[in-house]
Parts: sequence; structure tokens; C-alpha cells
Amino acid sequence: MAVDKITSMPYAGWIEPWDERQIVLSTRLRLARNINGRPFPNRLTDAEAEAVAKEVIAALPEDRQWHVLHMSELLQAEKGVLLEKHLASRELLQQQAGRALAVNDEQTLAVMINEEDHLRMQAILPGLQPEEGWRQISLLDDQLAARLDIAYDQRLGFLTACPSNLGTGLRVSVMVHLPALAMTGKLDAIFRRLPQAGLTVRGVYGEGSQSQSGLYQISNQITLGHSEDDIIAQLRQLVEAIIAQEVQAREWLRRNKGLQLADAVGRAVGVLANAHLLAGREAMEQISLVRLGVAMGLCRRISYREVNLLMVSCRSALLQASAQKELTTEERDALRADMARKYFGGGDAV
Amino acid sequence: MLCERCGKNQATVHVKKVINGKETQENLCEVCAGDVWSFGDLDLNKLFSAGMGGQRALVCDGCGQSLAEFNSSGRLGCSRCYQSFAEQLAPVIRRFHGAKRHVGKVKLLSGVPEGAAWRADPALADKNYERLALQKQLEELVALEKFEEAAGVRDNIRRLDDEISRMMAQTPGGTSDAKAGER
Repeated sequence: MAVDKITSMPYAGWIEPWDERQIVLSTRLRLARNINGRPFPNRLTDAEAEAVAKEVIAALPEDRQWHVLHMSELLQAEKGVLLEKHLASRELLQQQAGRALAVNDEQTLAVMINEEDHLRMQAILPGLQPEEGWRQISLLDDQLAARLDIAYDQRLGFLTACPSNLGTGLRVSVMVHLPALAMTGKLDAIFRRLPQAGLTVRGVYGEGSQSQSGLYQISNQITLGHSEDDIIAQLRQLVEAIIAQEVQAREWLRRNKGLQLADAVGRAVGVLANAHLLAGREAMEQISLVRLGVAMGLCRRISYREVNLLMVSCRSALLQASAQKELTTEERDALRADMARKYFGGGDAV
Repeated sequence: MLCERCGKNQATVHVKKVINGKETQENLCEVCAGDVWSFGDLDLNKLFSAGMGGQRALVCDGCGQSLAEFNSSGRLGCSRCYQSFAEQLAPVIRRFHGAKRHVGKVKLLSGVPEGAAWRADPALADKNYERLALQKQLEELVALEKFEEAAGVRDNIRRLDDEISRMMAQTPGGTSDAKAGER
């Protein structure tokens, strides 16, 4: 049952609303580590990979409850859910032997085993909390390092399969909702400046700056030569600046395009509350508008928590998993529309 | 046909040589041919890349991955690859990160209190690493029953420990782990 919760239910800890601005949805930290004297996962035989997995699983600290999922035992639909909840990467899910995922009961900490590196630890928290995330993941790292001989070099830091992760092995990603900056066409200029600060951005549920959901992931790219504290401080500083600009853009919209904005939000509520067939892309666009509406007091029919939950529940793999069978596109769109209507208290009301 | 050298085995290798336009052919068995060419450890990769640009085809002695494999996949085979290909990787790392040296959390020694100082102070990190190396050396010497040498290493570790404690006492937050997660 406990494992079911991870592979089928939409809830994950980070869906809980964090601060009243709600521009940052979640903070994810990833820490790459390898065991000394073993080939990296891409050069492990199946038997060696299984031995590494066993060793890592045995080293998991007992102060929390871990659910261990073996990739060889998961259904395709369950893998899709792990991917959409950001608990596992595509690379891990595509492989079998000795590939595993350990998740804590709250689904806020995860360890991917034998992905690109032997260990990829991950902490997921709601809102902008990279410092707290670092505290948690660094503690987990210390606990694991006490039982595993971790590959380390004085000059290069923690050694990773790809030199792009060398040093701290730390990647901090912040998921932000920037619909107003997208609407006012200001995103490109902001994103162009990020690489100079060693940061990168990509759309979530969409390509590049054309994210359908208005969601973007901002993360550090450089891992060597900057301490974890510096990486976190720099990312926070830039994310705070982007938040301030999004707030400004929302204010500008309210003053100059108030009627159009209220109309767009109202129409989005109308679609989600009444549609009977809802494609994934359309759902994401409308949910993004409603989320903006909730933030600006233009929509009171749904809470942040519900919007966040709806956003995750609408993803195809979760629909598939909840239906417990293969769905056609039309069946999926119908199920998605049913779900959206329920969130707006509609049921079958037209 | 029998081998023209030993006259014992079947000749299966036919070596054609062209020297100053004069062609000769030798018919040898595998054993004798091995003497001439050492087919056993002939590394074609090494030969080819030696011809092209003069860079030897490097292979990591830890996992057997070649530098060419890294160049095509972007991934190394094991942590030892960083030593095996140190010279070739240095510019790659430099270009990507713009830095050469790790700053931040370091590998902790077992038995040494965890503290913010380890993460922030590069000098302490160096000492920590030095001690790590000595510890390993000590274990190896004990395993080989070279107790006299081991005692010398142990003395060095003790000296280093004293030095580390002094440095930690001088570093703010160095004596407890209370500040490790702050900031």
C-alpha cells in the first residue's frame, strides 16, 4: 500500500502551498555521489549494478522510513508517475538491472541508485527553501558517507561520471510560475541574462521559453569552484529578482489590462469547470491562468493547494495510473475533464 | 606449408615486406609471427591516434575505458579516469566550470567532528585530505605487517590531528556542528 501511494497518488509534499506569493512552487536539490573503486553505472555489468544497489540500500539511514522501488519490477504507468512527480529521471526509468529508487515516506527525499552516478540524492520542498533543502540533503549525504566510501579528490571535489557535475555535485532547481512575465513578453530578456550567472532555465511541461504551463525551472549549471552556500545564495538572489519582476508585471496587468485579465481568468475557469474533453496542453494553459487568477484575487472558487494538485493530477501518466488500464487519447481527455470539473465543485453540472 | 622460421607449425601468417621497392614474403606460424609483431598486445587504437595529431590512445587502468569513448559519450568510466586522463580533462573542466579547484563541502573523515569549518576553509580541507591519505597508507602498512613504518605514519597522523584541532579552534564555528546547516 505504501508503495502504491508513491506510484499512483498525485500527492507529493511539495504541492503544499508555501508562501502567499506562490510564484515559486518548489525547490529541488540534487547531489551526485559515487562509490570509490567501482566503475560508474554506465560501465557496470548487471551483476555489479545489483551489488552496488544492495550496498546503497543497506546504507540508507534508519532514522526514516524508506520505500525502495526496483525499476525491473515497475509497470510502465507507474514509471510515468515517478517521472511526472519529479521523483525519478527518464534515464533511471529506462534501465532495469540494479536500478532502483528509494523514497522516504513523506516523498520529500529520494535516492536514485545507478542512474548516471551511483547515487543521486534529491530533496524536494515546497516554495523557495534551498537552504533548508541543503540542510536535509547534506545530512543524508553525511549519513550515507559514514557507511560508503565516496569517490573524492582534493582538487576536483566529489567525482562524477560526467565532469559537468564535478566538485559539489550539487544542482539546485527552483520551479517558478511566471505567467505575467510570459504575457508581457519580458521572459526572453530575463532568461538571456541567466547564463552569465552560471544559471540555466527550461520550460516545465513544454519547450524552451514556450512553456504552456507558465512554469519554468531555474537551476545552477556550474558545480566546481563555488561552495554550496555560494551556489544557493546566488540562485536565491536571482530568483528573488525574477519574483519581484513577476510581481511588477502582475501589477502592470491589473492596472492596464484588468478587464482582459479578468476575462481570460473567467474563461479559463469556465473551460475547466465545464469541459468534457480536455487535452493536456489546453488543461495546462487554463490551469496556469486560473493559478494567476487565484494569486490576484480574481478567482475564489479554488485554493492554491487544489490548483497545484490539479496541475499534477492532469498529467497523462497519473490519469493512466488512476484508471489502472491503458487509455485512448479520447478517454484520457475525458478523464482529465472529469477531474477538472470535480475540482470546481461541478461534477456533472453544466 | 610449414613455418619458414621454426619449421614445426603450419604457416598461417604471410608477412609481405616492401623495402626500397624490393618485395619479400615470409610464411610464418602464429607463434613466430607473434615474435615479430607481438600481435597479442598490438593496440590498433594506439597506432592510429599516434599517427593523427600525436595523441596516444589513452585507456584508464581503473576501468579500461578509452579517452575516445569519453569523447563520444561525455561520460567517464570510473573515478580513476580523472587521473588517467588528467591532462586531457583539465581544459574540458576549465572551459565548463571556469574553475580548477573544488570549494565547499569536503569528504569527512570518520571520527572527526563534522563542522562548518570543513566546508568553508580550503586549508582545513587540504589537511583533511592529507590525513585521509595517511590513514589509507597506515592501513596498507599494517596489512603488510610493516609495523615500524606504520608507527612513523601514525606519528604523522597524530601531528596532523593536533594541527587540525588548532586550526579548527581558530575557525569560527569550527568546533561544533551547530552552524553546519545555517546561512
